[in-house]
Amino acid sequence: MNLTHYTILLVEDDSNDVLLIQRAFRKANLANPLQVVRDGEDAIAYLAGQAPYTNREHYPLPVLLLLDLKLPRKSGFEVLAWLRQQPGLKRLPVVVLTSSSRTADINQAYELGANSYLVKPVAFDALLDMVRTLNLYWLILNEKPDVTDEA
Amino acid sequence: MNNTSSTQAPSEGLYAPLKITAIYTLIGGLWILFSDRLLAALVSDPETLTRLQTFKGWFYVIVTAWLLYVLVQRSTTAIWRSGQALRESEERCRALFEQASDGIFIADLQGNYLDVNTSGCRMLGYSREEISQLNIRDLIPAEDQATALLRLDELHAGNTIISECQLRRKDGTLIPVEISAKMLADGRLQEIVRDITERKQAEEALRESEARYRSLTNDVLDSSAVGIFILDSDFRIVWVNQAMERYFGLRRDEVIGKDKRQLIRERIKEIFEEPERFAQKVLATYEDNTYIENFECHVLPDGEREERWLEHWSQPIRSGLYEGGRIEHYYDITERKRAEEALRKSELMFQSLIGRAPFSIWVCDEEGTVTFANQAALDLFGVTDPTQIIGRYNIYRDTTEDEKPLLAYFERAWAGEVVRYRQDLDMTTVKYETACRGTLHLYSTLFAIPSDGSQRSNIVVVQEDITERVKAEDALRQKVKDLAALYAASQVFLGPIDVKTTLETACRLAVEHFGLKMAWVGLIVEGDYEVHPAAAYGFEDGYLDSIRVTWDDSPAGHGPTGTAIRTAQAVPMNRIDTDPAYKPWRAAAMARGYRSSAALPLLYGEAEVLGVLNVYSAEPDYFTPDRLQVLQSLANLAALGLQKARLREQEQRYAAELEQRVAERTAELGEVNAELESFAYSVSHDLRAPLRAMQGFAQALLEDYADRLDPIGQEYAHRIVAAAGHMDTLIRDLLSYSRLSRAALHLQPVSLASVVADVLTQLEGELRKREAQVTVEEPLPQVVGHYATLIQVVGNLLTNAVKFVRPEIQPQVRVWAEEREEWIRLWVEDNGIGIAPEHQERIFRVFERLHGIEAYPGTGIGLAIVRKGVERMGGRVGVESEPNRGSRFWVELPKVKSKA
Repeated sequence: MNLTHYTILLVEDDSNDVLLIQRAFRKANLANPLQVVRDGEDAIAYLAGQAPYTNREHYPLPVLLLLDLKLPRKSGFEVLAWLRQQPGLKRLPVVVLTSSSRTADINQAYELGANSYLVKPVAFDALLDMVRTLNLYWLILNEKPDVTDEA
Repeated sequence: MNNTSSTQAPSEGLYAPLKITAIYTLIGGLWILFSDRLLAALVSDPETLTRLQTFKGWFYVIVTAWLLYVLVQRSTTAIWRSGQALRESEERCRALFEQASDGIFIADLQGNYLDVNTSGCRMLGYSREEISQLNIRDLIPAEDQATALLRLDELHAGNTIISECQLRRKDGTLIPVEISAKMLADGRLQEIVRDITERKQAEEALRESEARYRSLTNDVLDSSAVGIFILDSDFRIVWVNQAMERYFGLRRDEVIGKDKRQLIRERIKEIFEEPERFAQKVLATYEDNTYIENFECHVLPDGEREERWLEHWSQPIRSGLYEGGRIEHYYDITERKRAEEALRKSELMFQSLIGRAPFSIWVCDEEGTVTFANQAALDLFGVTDPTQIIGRYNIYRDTTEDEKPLLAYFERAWAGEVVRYRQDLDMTTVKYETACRGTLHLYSTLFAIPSDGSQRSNIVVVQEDITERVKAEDALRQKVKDLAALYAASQVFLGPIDVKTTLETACRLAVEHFGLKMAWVGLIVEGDYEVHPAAAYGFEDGYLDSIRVTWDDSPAGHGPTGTAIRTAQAVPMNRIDTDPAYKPWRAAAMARGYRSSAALPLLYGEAEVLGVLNVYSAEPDYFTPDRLQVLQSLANLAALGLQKARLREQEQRYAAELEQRVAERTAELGEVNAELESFAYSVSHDLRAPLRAMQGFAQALLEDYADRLDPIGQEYAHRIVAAAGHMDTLIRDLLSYSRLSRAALHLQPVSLASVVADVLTQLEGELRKREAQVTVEEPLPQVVGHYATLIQVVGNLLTNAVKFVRPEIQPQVRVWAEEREEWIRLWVEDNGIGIAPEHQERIFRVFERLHGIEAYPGTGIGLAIVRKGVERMGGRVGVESEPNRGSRFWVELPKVKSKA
């Protein structure tokens, strides 16, 4: 199994955060392709295989979803809620990656079916550690469920 | 005639014949002389005359012849008779001699016995021949001989001597005899000897009897307690005894021989009370000494004489020595009299007791017939003629059917039990005119008293009329019920009920307690004269809709309701059918069966009328003053309850308003809070993003473009990184602090040991970096707190303990716990720089720092978080420290209360 080609989909609206995460991935030597969408609707379009993400060659289904909560158009909760309703997609592991440490948000996320909840650290080094751990846990250790485009 | 002629003396007998001859001669002479003359005078005829003379002559001869015959016959007969008599007398003499029961002894002058009769022989036991051999001296014992011989001389003198002596019988025994000795004409001595053995015995007996008698009289009778007078036929006092002396104070020698009548006259006044009566009675018996007299008399005291009551009892003496006399007894009845007096007094008292006792006393005999009833008993049943009841009324025969249970009580009483029971009699059915016309209540006690030996005892029934008491009890009971009802009402009215319920309850209670038909309450509204029904209970049937009640001057305002309101007094309306004041509503009321009503003003305080309670009864004249009083109390309570309910409603309105305002405020606050919350969230979330960028890119710059940056540029980049990091910490701490203020902490038992262990794990990196040595002294007990908050608190304390240490010194931290009564005190001791006393309070405030950031990094919020967190958990914090002497921070939290 070629682990290096498992796509990770990042849903994040803040460009700084996107850059930093990408840098963290580089620093962590992760070869996995990191797809980025900038809002909730886009996320849903991607996952649903809708335009402009119909081409699964270019936009493969991810094995892990990194989901921010505060998103334009549709919030992370809405995406999550939608996701868990999709017959083929609902098993997709979701790690919420957000700046909110509010208990209500944490509970809500798990309520809606998030698999994990991480708070974006301010220090980059911490972010780097987090990415490494994510990789180690979710991509290497964790057993992945079947995720399909099935409607 | 024979006797007289034979005993006549001869000289005397001579006279008789002389007399006779003389008389004959006289008569004959006269006859001869005058008969011729008479005839010649009478008869003129010579033939007849001659014939008559012849006849006369022959008549004379016949008469003379007859007389001669009679005389001769008489004398011859007399001579023969006397000769006969003499012979008879001789025979009799002999017979007498022989047959005499006394012994007759004939002796000569020397005393030799010549003849003796049969009795004499028998008496002495000798035969006639034997006696004729004996001399007088032979028979007389030696001791008597002297006297016997003396007497012989007297006999010679011609006297008859009677003497007593003893004679010796043939067998030697002596017999007492009385000898009557006499000298006979022919010189012989005649002795008539009588055996006086019996007489002697009789004399002896008499002597004995006399002695007894004497003893009787002298000892016994004399000393008896009965005073005795024995009077002879002349009423002279013959004998009295000692008792008499004692009783009357008279001496025996004073009175013996005295005429009792005289004694009475002389002494009676000083002795007796009512002397006239005494005298009259006693003297009457002397007048007519034939009957028994018996009466009482009273002896007055005088010196030695005591006061006494005596009973006089006297009777005539009919035989004996004092026949015709009288014997009088005086019995001392003083004791008896006194006893009688005492008895009489006791009797009187008893009679008074029974008669005047204020309760009935009946006595029944063993058959159940009433034998006695005292006045109270008769009065109770209105019996005017006792004979109707006493002796006639019998419990078995004359009791009515519902009185039959009484018989069981009687049986129990006869069995010896004391039975107590209560009777409630309906007096309207009793046939006598009694004072009580309703129900008579009696409390009876039944018991048996011993009677005189008959088979069952008598029964006494004591009855007490407890009607008044029962009435009082009933009234009291009613009062208690009324009070209980009022109390229950008060409990209801003063409880948490609203106006409508209050008024409805008032109506309901009135109806239920008094059994009324309907009750309603009308309230007064300011400015309106009409009374509007506010609540009702009972059979109303549209009555309230049909009527209009006011308290103004119109007819509708002059009914009970209006009057009650105007006068603030209860107004009864006991005759709805006739009272004119009720006219406007009469028809409606009568149609629904209301016959009397009352209006009770709901009086609050002294004079404030809040409304009216109207009550209706199906009975006319139901609302008596007593009932009105209770109803008024109820109305007043209702008024109180009404006011209270109104106040409560007002209160509730206020409370509701208040609550609403509070709710609004709370909502506002909640909103504010939520806003703050979201603000804080925004702050943390939105502020963090630029920080991430700053920090990330500054670091990227340092890492990726280090060769293109000179040292100053690198330093700038470092500072950017540092500043970003610092701001992050600040934001985090602020968020923590603000969250602590808002969040509601659920306190529960928390293990300090776990908290400390977790904190140590979290701070592991930092501790290692600083080479800090942390010693935890076990045991660390449980406290009541909030886990997460405790993590923060302990974390901050440990962080500080390690941080505020001179750089060259190895931080040494000691953690231990202490029990202080209800609290656990956790100590965190360091060997740091210490805190001066004047700063020890400030350091717990937000943003208070004692050092520059360069010296010791920190936000100045750490200890504020510690204090806030501990306070939210209900504990306290404090510090003991001196500059350069290290610090000992302590946190006090409640001990977990063991349930054991």
